[in-house]
Amino acid sequence: MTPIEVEAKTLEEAIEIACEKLGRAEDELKIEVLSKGSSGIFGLVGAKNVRISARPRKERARPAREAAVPAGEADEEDPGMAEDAAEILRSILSHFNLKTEVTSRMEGQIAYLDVNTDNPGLLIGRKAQTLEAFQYIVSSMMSRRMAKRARLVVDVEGYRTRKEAAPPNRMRDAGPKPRDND
Amino acid sequence: MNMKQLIEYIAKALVDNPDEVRVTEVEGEQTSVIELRVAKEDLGKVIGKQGRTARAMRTILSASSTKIGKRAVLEIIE
Repeated sequence: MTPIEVEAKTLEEAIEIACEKLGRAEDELKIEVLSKGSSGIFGLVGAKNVRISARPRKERARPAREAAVPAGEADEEDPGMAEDAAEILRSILSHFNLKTEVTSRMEGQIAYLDVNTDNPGLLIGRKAQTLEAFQYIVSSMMSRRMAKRARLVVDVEGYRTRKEAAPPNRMRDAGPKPRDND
Repeated sequence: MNMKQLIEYIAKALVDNPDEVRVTEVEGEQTSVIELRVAKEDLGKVIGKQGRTARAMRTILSASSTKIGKRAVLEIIE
């Protein structure tokens, strides 16, 4: 498959767009940074976008291997993984002066952690960056503990589910890009 | 105090030598500097690929500090 090129303000955004376009998760993509971009002066003058190229990694006969493991047995290695991850997240959140409650569930190989709190905005952050940070840190810790990659999703007050269900913002997406205005 | 413990908890769970994790807090009037020291071979673990782990820790730290109306800066010291 030929690589696609994506341009965005930040590397994270570019990767996100690439994932969406190719319908793959970030770790299933081979990503190459073509140009790093710069935020320019005060983020206004001379700002340059980040350009990356992305293509799906070769599938390494993964379906075949999964099929070799009888259904159900694949999950058996870590039944308590979701609860362990929830415990880690609770420890992190205990350092916040907030009321929080973490519930967890397993769906296949993926652990879902949902946080209920009186201040969701604080835990989600601008463009969900705080939420992403929690997810990244908790999965790093879990991956270390399990000596393999832990797949988990952290959500605060159903934010991700809402985002997924929301229709795309057509006005924004249809509008001309700033650089097309000349 | 909370912020220091927060970073200590996260860092200890990420490194190979948790006993060598040292976190100190230098308190200023509005800004606190949280200094994180880890064993040399663990430096990469708290920074992460393209600084992702360090960035995630900073993001979590800022979220925790807004609640107490303070700014906190994380410095990873070599």
